[in-house]
Amino acid sequence: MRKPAYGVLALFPSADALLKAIPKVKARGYAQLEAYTPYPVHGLDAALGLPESKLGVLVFLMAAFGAVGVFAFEWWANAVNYPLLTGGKNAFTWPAWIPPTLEGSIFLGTFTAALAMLFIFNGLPFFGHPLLQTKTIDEITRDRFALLIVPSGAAFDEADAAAALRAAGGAAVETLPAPSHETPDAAWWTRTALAIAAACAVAGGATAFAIRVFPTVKPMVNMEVQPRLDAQEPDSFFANGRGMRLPPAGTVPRGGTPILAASLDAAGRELIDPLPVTEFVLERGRRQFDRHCAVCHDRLGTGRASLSSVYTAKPADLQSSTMRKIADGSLYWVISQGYNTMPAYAADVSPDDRWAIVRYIRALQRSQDAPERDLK
Amino acid sequence: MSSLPESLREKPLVEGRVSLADLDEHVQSLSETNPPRSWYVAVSITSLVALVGLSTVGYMVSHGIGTMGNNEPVVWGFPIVNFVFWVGIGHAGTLISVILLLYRQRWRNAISRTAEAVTVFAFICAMMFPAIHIGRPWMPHWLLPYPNSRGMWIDFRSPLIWDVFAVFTYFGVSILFWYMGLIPDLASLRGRTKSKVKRAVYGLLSWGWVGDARHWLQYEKAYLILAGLTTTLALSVHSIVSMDFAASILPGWHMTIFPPYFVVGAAFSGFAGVVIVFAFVRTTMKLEGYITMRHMDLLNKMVLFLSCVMTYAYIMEGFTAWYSSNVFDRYIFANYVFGDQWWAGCLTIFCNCVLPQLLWFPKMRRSVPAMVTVAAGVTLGMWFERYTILILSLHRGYLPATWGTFRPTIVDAGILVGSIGIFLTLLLLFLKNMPIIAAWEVKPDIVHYQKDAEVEHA
Amino acid sequence: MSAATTNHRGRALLAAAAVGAAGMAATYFLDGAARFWANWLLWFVILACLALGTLFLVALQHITGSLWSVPMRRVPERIAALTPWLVPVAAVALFSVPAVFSWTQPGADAVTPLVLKSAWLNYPFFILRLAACLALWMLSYHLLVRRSLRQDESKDPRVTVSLRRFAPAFMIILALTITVFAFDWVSSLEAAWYSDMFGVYLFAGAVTTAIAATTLGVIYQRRRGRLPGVTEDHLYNLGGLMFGFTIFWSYIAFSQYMLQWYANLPEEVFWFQQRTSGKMEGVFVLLMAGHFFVPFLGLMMRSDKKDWRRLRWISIWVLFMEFVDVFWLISPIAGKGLNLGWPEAAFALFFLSAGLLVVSRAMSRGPDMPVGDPFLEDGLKFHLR
Repeated sequence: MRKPAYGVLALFPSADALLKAIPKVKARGYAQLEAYTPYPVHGLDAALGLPESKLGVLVFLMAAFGAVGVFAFEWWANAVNYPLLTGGKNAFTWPAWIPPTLEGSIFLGTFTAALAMLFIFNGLPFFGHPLLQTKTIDEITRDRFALLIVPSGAAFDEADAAAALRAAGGAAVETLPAPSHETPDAAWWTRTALAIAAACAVAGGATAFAIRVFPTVKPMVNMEVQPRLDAQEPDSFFANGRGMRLPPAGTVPRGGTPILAASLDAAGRELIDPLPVTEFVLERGRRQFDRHCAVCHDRLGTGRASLSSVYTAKPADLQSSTMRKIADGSLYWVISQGYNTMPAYAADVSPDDRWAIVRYIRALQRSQDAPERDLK
Repeated sequence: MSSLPESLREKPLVEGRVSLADLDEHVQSLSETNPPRSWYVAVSITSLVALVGLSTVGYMVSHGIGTMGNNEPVVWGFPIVNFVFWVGIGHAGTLISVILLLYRQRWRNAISRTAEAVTVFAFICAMMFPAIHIGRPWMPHWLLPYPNSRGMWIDFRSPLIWDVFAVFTYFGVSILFWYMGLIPDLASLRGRTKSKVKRAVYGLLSWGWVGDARHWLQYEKAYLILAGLTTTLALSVHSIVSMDFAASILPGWHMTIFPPYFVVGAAFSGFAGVVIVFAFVRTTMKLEGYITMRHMDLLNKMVLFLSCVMTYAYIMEGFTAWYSSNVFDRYIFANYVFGDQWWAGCLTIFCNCVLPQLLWFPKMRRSVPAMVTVAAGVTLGMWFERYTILILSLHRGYLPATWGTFRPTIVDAGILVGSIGIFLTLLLLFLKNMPIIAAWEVKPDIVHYQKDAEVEHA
Repeated sequence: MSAATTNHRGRALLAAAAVGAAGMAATYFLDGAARFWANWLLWFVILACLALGTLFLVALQHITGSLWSVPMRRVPERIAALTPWLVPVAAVALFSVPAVFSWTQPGADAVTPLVLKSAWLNYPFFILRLAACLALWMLSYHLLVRRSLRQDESKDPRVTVSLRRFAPAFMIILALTITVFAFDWVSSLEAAWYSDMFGVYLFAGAVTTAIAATTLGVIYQRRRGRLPGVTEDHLYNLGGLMFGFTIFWSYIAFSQYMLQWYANLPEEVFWFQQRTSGKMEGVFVLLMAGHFFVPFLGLMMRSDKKDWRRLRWISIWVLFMEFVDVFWLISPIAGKGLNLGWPEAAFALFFLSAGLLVVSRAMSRGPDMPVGDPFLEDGLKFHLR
């Protein structure tokens, strides 16, 4: 079966001629008209009876969404999720969040306006448009104004439509065949989806590759490569070949306290927790524990925190019976000196804080294995 | 209307008798024919300069920012001076194209496309500077809010972060606006070209544009909406750039007038840049019929107007520095014009306030040498204005103990000159390869003015 | 409209003004001089903004050579008839200087920042500046408006040429005088405070107000058939201008507030603290929401700007917001807290009815359109594309 024609087209020399022709053609009973022009002709939308554009509403909604979204995100990020107080202000610093809000709103608004105009409201791209298969389109995009009668009903007579256009002053009348495919079919969508998937896969692969390779490339190493000796570097200057010097015997670091126990067990016997029993100490211990210990030992001390899986020697389960029985002083010693893969924390955590951590570990142990009288 | 005095009569924006096809023939054929030898010479020179600049950037990146003149009190130095300068030039396109579109000023039509191109290219130059001066330009993603293992977010309260958002949005939107305006012209190029490959490329880039009246309706609506939003954007971008300075408490920077004053300054330097570009383009490319002396006259009037607003802003700054009775403010403003680098402040005032006053004379507005002199002076003056604000404020802070001096190095100079090379290379490539006049916007004007001419003739 | 209704309305306005005047006098004696002067200055500033804003609109048309505004130009020209009346209002206002301005108060000569600027803030120079401003405004009014009125009879296009020539000069005059006015009559009430944007701030408010008043005048006359040929498209442009200047005002206001809030310098931020804390916080929030969001959302869509009913309500709202704005600026000098009560109502009654009397008298004289302007016909032909 022969597909019905897309329409009958005629060319006019000027916008005025086109505007004058439209009522004449309409008078002959052709209501469905389309016009093609090299530039926007004012008055054409009224003559053709085109409805006003609804684009503004969509743009407004998207711009409003952008504004609200960005503002809410700023508030959540800077006042809730990672609260940061700056410049003596309180947390809800709305004036400082306005500029990005504005930009977010404009960004969404502008891109919506352009992309929705092209791809939603105008239905582009439409490479199957029959005009694009003709030579006439080259004249239309230059200086000719075209009017197209769209067939309506079964009784559409191409010859009569052509005559109507000629009578209205149209020249170069031609019949446009039906578009090769008006709407993309399932096969087109499948092809497109596959192409997009392939592109995503390539892009993803490239990104993964870049992420693996790129961090090892350092464009500038001036901060690292310097004429100095790094820790543990060999050096021929000294007789023992080491770059580092050992401190003289008996050296105590400034502000530091020597650990006065020779071993784990000795520490358990000899060291005594000097802190008073107060809520402040427990709270201090909690903060220090969460900051330094919880990343491996978990906030409850179970030793099953997210990082624990990367170690071959598992972090100790502080809730185990061994750990319950171990003396306070031994715990203090482990925190200070390190144990197995656990590093020493003497440099990072002050003695008092170490004792506070020990105190808090005891509280954690009790919280997970509370005797019945505690629950009453 | 023949009884009207000469000065009230509207002069046509298209000179001579041309048809719609003539316009395409004049403008769009440029991308199809071989350019003259002078174009090749020019492009060779500018790309060489650009190359020198890029190599300097490479040297700077591999050796560290210590190779630039930045030092302890003057931490921002040349990169930020150049950044603000280029962002300023980049405002021309938007302001000409967009604000004048909103006010339905027809004279923008012929010059909008090239002005938008100036915007995009100036922004490319501008964005280079903050990127290279942060020290580790390969870590730009640290500027963005993305979930990370550090558990932190960027501080949205920082004007520098606003700047990132503003500049990226503006760059994206400028390209979008530029490209959207190109779509109908690309469709027109598709019709002209003889080469099958080019036809396919132009066809793809214009998304199968056929000039359907329904499409034009949506297109014009989108164009107006974009114009409205982009106006707000243009105002906000240079305001936010100014807030990098004004939100601080440094004398000479903390001024409430900075946001509008920076916007005006940006437009001022932008218009001056566009005057220079068009003074050369219209004669060398034989476009006097479309970019007429009336266009140049109107552009020069804008330069004059903006110069007056700049003068107002300078007066207000100086007056308020005195009126604030803050000794630091008073000192820093005196230092601009009487200090050890007095020439920077004085050159700024001369180039931006005194020189453009020549444009009060209609003869000067219509003389190419005069307008190029003024525009070049303004461009220079606006660069020195940023130099004055940045460097002369930073090097005399609150504590005399931290005072210092700034000396630009050869690396600073190389990157600045290189950025000019990059800009000119991109501009020359654009002039050769793209439709430099928005045909679909000028065609109605041709019809309009030819019709007027016929009426008067009859 | 018959002469009788005009007379009737005139008498009603006169009576209202008289009631207002009585209330004003009562304010002085019952509520103290500070309250009286705060209100007097408030209305002085509003009237000056209105007069200067309308003159600006007239000059803007001449400078840009725009055609659409020609048929409506008579409206801002007539509202600018308030200009000569600024002289008596200013003369009275001069007595407020020793009473309420911070730099004239006892002990001001011991405050270093005030002493450092006494070359600018002293009474004789202050009066001289006011006189210069008033003289320049009267001159501009004469050159911009009076000559345009006379063009109705002479129909001489050369008048248009010379108006276009004077317009740029007026813009320079306006920029300088409105800044001096803003610094002297509003900012120097708290002489220690400073913001170099303040002149622009007052200017933005003045133009927004003038556009709103012009829009109201145009709608009023158009409904009575006095502006034949002025269509929705002309109104659309007025609405667009109002929309644009609303954004401009908000931009200036926000930048000024945000920068001083951000830097948090004690010598600046105290001024905003007075105006954003306690009961004034409500006024501040109203100003932000009302001066920006209402006109912004109300005039956003294309059809909004063509709808005269909507335009009328938004214009009235914008005028009210100008009152709120200037109230927010000036009222803190009358004492801590929110100074709002019957004295404010009395002042509003007097100045509104007296102002309306002046404007309606101007509106009843001569043609409603600039019939001598050679571009009137082109302006009437204007339509949106």
